[in-house]
Order: sequence, then structure tokens, then C-alpha cells
Amino acid sequence: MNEPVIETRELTKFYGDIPVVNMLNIQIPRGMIYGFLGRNGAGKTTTIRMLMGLVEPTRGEAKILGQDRGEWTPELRARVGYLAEGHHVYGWMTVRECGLFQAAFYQHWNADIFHAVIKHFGLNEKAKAGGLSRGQRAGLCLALTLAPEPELLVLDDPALGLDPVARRSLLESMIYVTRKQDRSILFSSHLLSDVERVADRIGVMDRGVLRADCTMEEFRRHIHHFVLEFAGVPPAPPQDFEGCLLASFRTEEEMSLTLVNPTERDRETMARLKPRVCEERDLDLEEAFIRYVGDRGEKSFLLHEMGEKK
Amino acid sequence: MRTILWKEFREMWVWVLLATLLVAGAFSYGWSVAVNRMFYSNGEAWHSVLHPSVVLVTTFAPMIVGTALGFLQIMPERSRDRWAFLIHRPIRVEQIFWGKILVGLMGYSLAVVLPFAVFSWYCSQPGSVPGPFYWAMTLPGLSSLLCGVSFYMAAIITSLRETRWFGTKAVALVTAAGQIWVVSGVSSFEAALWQILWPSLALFILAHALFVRQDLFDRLKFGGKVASLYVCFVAACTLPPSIKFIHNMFEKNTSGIWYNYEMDREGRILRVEQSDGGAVKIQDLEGNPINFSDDELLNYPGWRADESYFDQAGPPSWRFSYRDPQYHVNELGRDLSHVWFYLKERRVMVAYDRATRRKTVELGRNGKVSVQTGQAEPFESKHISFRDVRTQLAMFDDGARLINVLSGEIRMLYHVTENGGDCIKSGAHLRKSRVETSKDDYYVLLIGRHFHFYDVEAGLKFKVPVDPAWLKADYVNHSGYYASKSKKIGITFEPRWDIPREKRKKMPIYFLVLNEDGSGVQHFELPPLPFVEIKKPWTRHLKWADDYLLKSLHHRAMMYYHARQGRAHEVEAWQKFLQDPAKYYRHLGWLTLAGFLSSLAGWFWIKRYRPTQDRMLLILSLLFLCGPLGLLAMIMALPRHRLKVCPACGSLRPVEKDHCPHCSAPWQTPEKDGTEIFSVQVREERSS
Repeated sequence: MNEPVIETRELTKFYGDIPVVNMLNIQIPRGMIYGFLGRNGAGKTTTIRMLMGLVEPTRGEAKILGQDRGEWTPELRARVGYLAEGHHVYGWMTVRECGLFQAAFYQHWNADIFHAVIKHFGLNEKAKAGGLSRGQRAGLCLALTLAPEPELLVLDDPALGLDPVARRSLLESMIYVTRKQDRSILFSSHLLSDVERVADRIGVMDRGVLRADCTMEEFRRHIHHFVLEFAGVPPAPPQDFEGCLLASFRTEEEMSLTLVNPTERDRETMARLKPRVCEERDLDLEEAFIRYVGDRGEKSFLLHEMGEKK
Repeated sequence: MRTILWKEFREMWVWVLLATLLVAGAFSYGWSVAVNRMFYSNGEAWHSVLHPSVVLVTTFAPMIVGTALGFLQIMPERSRDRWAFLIHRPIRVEQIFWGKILVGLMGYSLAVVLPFAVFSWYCSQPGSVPGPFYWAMTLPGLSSLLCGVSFYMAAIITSLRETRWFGTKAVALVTAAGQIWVVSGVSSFEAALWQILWPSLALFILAHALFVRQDLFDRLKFGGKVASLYVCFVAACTLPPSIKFIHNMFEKNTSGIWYNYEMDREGRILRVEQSDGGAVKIQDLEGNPINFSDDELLNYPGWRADESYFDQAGPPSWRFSYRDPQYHVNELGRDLSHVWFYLKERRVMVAYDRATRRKTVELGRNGKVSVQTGQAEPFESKHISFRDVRTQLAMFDDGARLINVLSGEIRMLYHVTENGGDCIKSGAHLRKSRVETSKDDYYVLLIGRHFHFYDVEAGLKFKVPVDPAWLKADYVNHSGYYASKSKKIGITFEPRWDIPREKRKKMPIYFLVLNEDGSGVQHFELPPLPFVEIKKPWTRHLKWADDYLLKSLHHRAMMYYHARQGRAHEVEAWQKFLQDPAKYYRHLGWLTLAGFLSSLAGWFWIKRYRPTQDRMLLILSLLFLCGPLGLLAMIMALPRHRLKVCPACGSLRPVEKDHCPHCSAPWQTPEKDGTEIFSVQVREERSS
């Protein structure tokens, strides 16, 4: 009954010898808002472009609304709204012409939604699309994508390059129009803050591999941050954790460690370092995400080492 | 669909308008060049749509406009977001393709066909062109315009193809260039249409397949795959002629030394060397140098009959085709106020006033008739050779006539059927003075095995027998000399111009010498001459390609191709080739070896991908038939699969395949790094 709206099986894409998407398995149930996260170059856009039939996967399968990705019919395209990251519209058209042009292809076109979004972004219908600011163009694209009221919305980093106000404006419109209609949304971004207010579940890509697929609460729960205070210079961080050490940071008397999936044995390992204080602190979601996708390894801020280097 | 048409129209109209103006300007400029030249030297303004300056426009404008429109329609939208915006809409992708194609072709028609049609209509109007105009003269231009459609498709394909190297991307443009090359070489418009149809169809199918499937070979349907291979094969076939072309381009005759035999005013046969700088070195037949103070030492060729038009069926020259103005109308020369033509259809001669560009006089069996009073009656036979109205000698299928265009007087010199059916092989007016014709001049016809000498009153003076060994198809070039001091006549029999230089260098030259009263006939067989020694360009290093690749594959193919066009020399050469078992089987051996080696190379190429046995057999069979060019086409058309080491068996396996073709192992899932966070539900889904 609750058939997934998007389903991939070992979806893989090579550019040259590098797998930019590596055996991706993902299932997004109907009615879910799925935040698709990762750093730039993690493989989010390539995945979305493969799903939309714009890029041919090297191997693997994908289904959209139950149909194979290679069999895009006009009916299926009408059910899927796609907003690409560049916010492309034909610059020589006016805002009104853009609406008319897009509406001509759809049997169902909700002009109210189109005008509401246009109004929300303060767009003049007679303005040339080529003369709009980046945020306004994003609003126009969103209006064009939302007006056909698609069952599935695929938004590829819609807020990319927008200033905070335009970003907020875009997200508000999206939430307003989509939330009450129980639509499925795949929403990619490289910032967790974009999706944290709307996403039911998130997937995190790291160098082509899906490393996390869970709710935000689960995500936050699996990432732990420890602060260890020492009487003197802290020792080097241990390398034998059972969980994955994401990052460590040392100062003159303090060492902080961020781990994914730490175990009791990891806590004992930390205790063996004989810190003066060992404290587990909560990370907010944004911080947890940055630690998760950020560069791995040790960072330090030891004054005596800096002096030696000098 | 209508919306797509509207959008494409809005995007393209400025470009189309610009192209229309440019092409119309190019036609105007071409025509102004043609018209201006008519008042100087050898103007050929009557060629109208076939004038070289206009042909330049009809050849290159379709190529440039077609290519530009194709690129302009696809390239700007090919960047990924724009393409997504274009494609992701609830209509079939085919409809978007058709919308683009329809607007593109309409734009192409407006930009190129419309100016050409207007220009042709202008040429058809009386008073526009100083000569006759037939609508059939527009067919060569029309064939070039049709080739422009291929360039349009090729540009679309080039924009759509995703390959690593631009050369492979642009393979369709090479195919279109090859097509226009072939089309310009065929003898008739019907043949040209076939040559246009197949590549255009293949390019269209491939453009459609790439647009709809948006990927290379593997995802194309059967038609798209065949079209892709065909397009690549045609492109590969342009390689041998391209090598030849490059070789010839650097091998300039003008930088060499020219050799020939001539007769001086004393009646001696001399060996003359001329370098491109104009320096002349003259020797007698014994090799003694002859000093000369001015060019008066030498005679000028009294006449030259390059080729016989009368003893062969079909178009006489391999270059002669519907693209030649002479295919439709013969220009017969010009006097002070008129240009004369022979209309093949009506079998009459007509004169056009050079100032008003209007027809004023007709000349036929019944003599000269003013166009205001009536029409001339047609001559009895169709073909004519009439080099210059001043020589008066006109040769028809049924015989030779002397036609005085000023007086309208016509005299029969020789009638074929009345004289036992011997055809005229060649004929010319032998003038004794360099400056003007005189009543002592001769008209000389080579009929059967004799030269017939006639005086200017059409009376047969004497006949001179020719050695039958000289009357070969390879010796149709004759030059005649009159030695004014010794009163001798000399006639050379030289090898045809289009015989390959290496072969010509081994062919003797014959010289016939006689007194002006027909007595003292002497036959000389002179040593072969190099004709022209060419400074070897750097492309001499391509000689191996010329010897092994071109001679065995390209030359024979071209011979067969021209023989199929009904060109007499090639038909004869092809027949000779077929009747020579040594040559035939050697060639067959070369082809077999080339096919075998190509299959072998193809097998090495393909086996890595472990295709099915049937597919491997099909590919190897095709490679055996198509040879190295087929191999090249295959390399261009088929995608190169990436190979990775299989972790299970250590063999190289294509990354596209789910299972290793060697050990059937699936790919390993990415290694876990301990950062995995999957909710319970997702873990269950993944494990299931």
C-alpha cells in the first residue's frame, strides 16, 4: 500500500575512475519529507539527476513513483516537480509568460499557488525573468514547480546561493504550500539548517556513499561530544575507539573528542587517560552535522607547540 | 508542442533573420563578382546559379548556416540545469525534439532556401543573365542546400554527444562534410539525392535517438545504434580521401618542372623543359642544347584537341556532371557584341547581346533567324563541340560542319553516315598564323585511322594514316603545330591528363610529321617524359598510406564508384581490372587480409567486455566486411567501458556490469567506516 515514492538499488555513477555515487540504496515512503544532505561534491546532485533521468547511472536501478527511472512518461513527469539548483528560466520571457509557458504543458495547474508564491516574493508579472535577482528567480522557479501540485517534489539545493532572507522566504513558501497537502519531498542541501524544520528523515552522503539514513533525532543521538580537562598538556587522542572518532581538538589543558556510535568501552578508554574532568556535552543538530561531514583528524591549539614551530 | 514551437521561434528568429541577411548579401556579392567579370577576359556570368562565385555561396552557406542553427538550438540549453528545465515537462521528449527540428528547419529554409529561390527567380528573368537559364541549373545548388540539413543534424548530434574527446563528438560533422564531398562528385541529381538521403536519414535518426535517450550507444534503440555505426563509418571513410587531399594540397605542380615535345619553326622536334620561374631549357632529340634568343623559336600549338566527345557513350569526362554549366548549355564563344550558346534541348545556337543580356539571334538548320521574326530549326543531332565561333568548326554526332555565325552560312565538312559510319575522334582548326585565320588554314579531323585535312572551303585536301597502335583510349590528347619556315605540320599524341603521373612517366609520346601538302609522313615514337617533376613535400612520408591503404582500398573503391556513375574511362578501367586475374586476386587478397586484421584487432578490443557469443560473431563479421574503416567506426561509436579489478577473482571487469563476467561475483558494498547511522526501519529495509 505505502509504496516508496523513490527507491534505489545499488545506484552507482562513475565519472572517470571515481565513483561519485557508490551503490546507493535508499527508500523514501510516500508522504515523507526527506532531507538529502552532504557537502559539496558528496553526490547529492548526481543522485537527483540520475533519479530524474538526466544522467545515466553506470549501474544500478531506481524507481520513481513505482516506475523505472528510464521510463519517464508525460504522466509521470506531471506527477513529479523538479527544481534544479541553478534556478533556470528563460530570461527573455516575462514572469507572466513563464507562468503561461509552464501552464501550457500541465493539465492541472493551480494558478492560485503560482500567484501566491509570486506575490510572496514580490515579483512584478511584467518583469523580464532575465532581470530578476537570484532570490526572485528562485521564487519564480519555485512557483513554476509548485503550481502543478505534483505528488513528489524533488528540490535540488533550492536555497543555494541565496542570502538568508531569500533563503527563509523560499523555505517558508515551500513549507506553506507543501506541508498541508501531504506531499512527498526530496530536498537536498548542504546545510542542515535548511531542512531541520521540515524534514521527517535525513540521508547524509559522504564522498558518494550514504552514511546516514535516519530521523534527525536519531542522528543527533548518535553523535557524542566529550570534553576532557587535564592538569597539564593533554595526551594524544587514542586511536582504538570502537566508535568512529570524527574529530579531536586539543588546547593547553583540554581535549574534546567527537565520536559517532561510541560504546561503553570507548568511555573506559577515555577514562584511562585520567582526565581531571570528563564531561559529555550535547551538540545541537547543526554542530553535529558539521562535525559529521567535516574533515576528520586531529586539530590542536597548543601554545607551546606553536612556540616550537616559531 | 505549439508552446515549444513558440518558444523556439522566439529564441531563434533573430539568428534566422541575421543568417538570411548574411546569405542574401553573400548571393548579391557573388553575383556582382560574376557580372563584373563578364566585361573583362573570360567572364562566365551566363553560368548564373552555377557561376563559381555563386556556387561558393551555395556550397558554404548551407554548411555554415545549418551548423550554426544546430549549435544555437542545442548548445545553450545543454548546460545541465537548462536541459533539465527543457526536458522535465509532461510531454514526450520526442515532441520537444520535433518542435526544435521544425523551427530549426523552417529557420534554415528562410535563411538559405529563400535567398537562393529569390536569386534563381531573378536569374530566370529575361535581361538578368547574358545567356540561357534552365531551372535544372538550380539542381546543384539545391543538392547543396539539402546537404545543409545534414550539417544541421550533425551540429545537433555534436551538441548532444557526450564523449571524452571533441574529435569523437564532432564525428557527425565529418560525416556531413563527407556527404557534401560525395554529392559534389556524382554525375546526376538523382544520384545526388540518393547520396543525400542515406547519410541525412542516419544523421536524423541518430539526432532523434540521442535527444530522446540523451546518452550514447548502450541506451540507444536498434535504429539509433545502426545509425550511430553508419555515421561513424561514413566519417571513417573520409579518412583515405582526406590523406590524399592533404598530400595533394602540399604537392603543388607549379613548384616543379614541366616537360613536353614541341616542333620549332624549322620543323625539328624539340624537348622543352619549363620551370615554374619561366626559364626554358630546350634540347634536340639527341640531347644537344638549343640556344634561343626569343620565343619566336617555338611554334605555338596550332590547335589542341584535348578529348574526343564522339566515340564514347555517356558523359565523356569523369568530372562532367549536372553541376557543370556545360551539362545544360554549351557556350560556343563570343564576338564583340554577342555570346553564343548551343541549346542541347532545342538543338539550336543562340546569341545573347552582351549589353542588354537578352537573346537576339538564333541559328539552326535553316540559318540565322532574329528572335523577333521567328525560331531557328533544330540541327539534326544533339551533341556539339564548338570551341570558338571564330574557328567556325562545329562537330555534331552526325558529323562536322563549318558554321559562320556572322553570315549564318552552314557547310557540311564530314557526314558520319554518308562516309561509312566512321566516327570523328577529334577535330580542330589548324591555323598557320598566330594572329588571324587565313584561307590557307586547314581543318583537321581524326576519323577512323586517318587524319582528314580540309581547306577553308570544306574541300578534302588529303588524308594521312595514323599508326593504329596510337589510337588508344589513353591517347586522346592531340596538339598540332605548323612550322612556318619548313612548311611542316606536326601532331602529337600525348597521354591523357588524368592518367596518374607515375603511369604517364612510362608512356611514350607519339609525333606525326608531314609536309603541308600531305607528303613525307613520318611517325615518331618518342621516349616518355616525366611531364612534371614535383618537389616532394613533407607529405611524402604518407607515401606508405598512399601505396598500401589508398591504392588497395580507396583507389579501387573510387574507380568502382565512378564506373557506377557511367563514366567511360572508369568503366573501361574497372572492366580491365576485373579481367586481369593477377590484379583482381591480389586486390581480393589485400581486402581479405585487411578484413582479417581488423577482425583480430576488434576481437582484442571487445573481448575485455565479454560480450555474448552472438554479439561477438556479429561484430567480427562486420569488421571483416568493413575492414580498417569499420574498426575505426567501431572505436568511435562504441563506448569505452571502464575496467576495475574484481576483488573476487582479480580480473578486470567493466564497472557497468552488476556481476563479474569472469566469476559472476557482485560488486562489494562500500566499506564501512564506523560513521554509519541508520534507523532501525532503514536497517531492516537495507537488509531485506
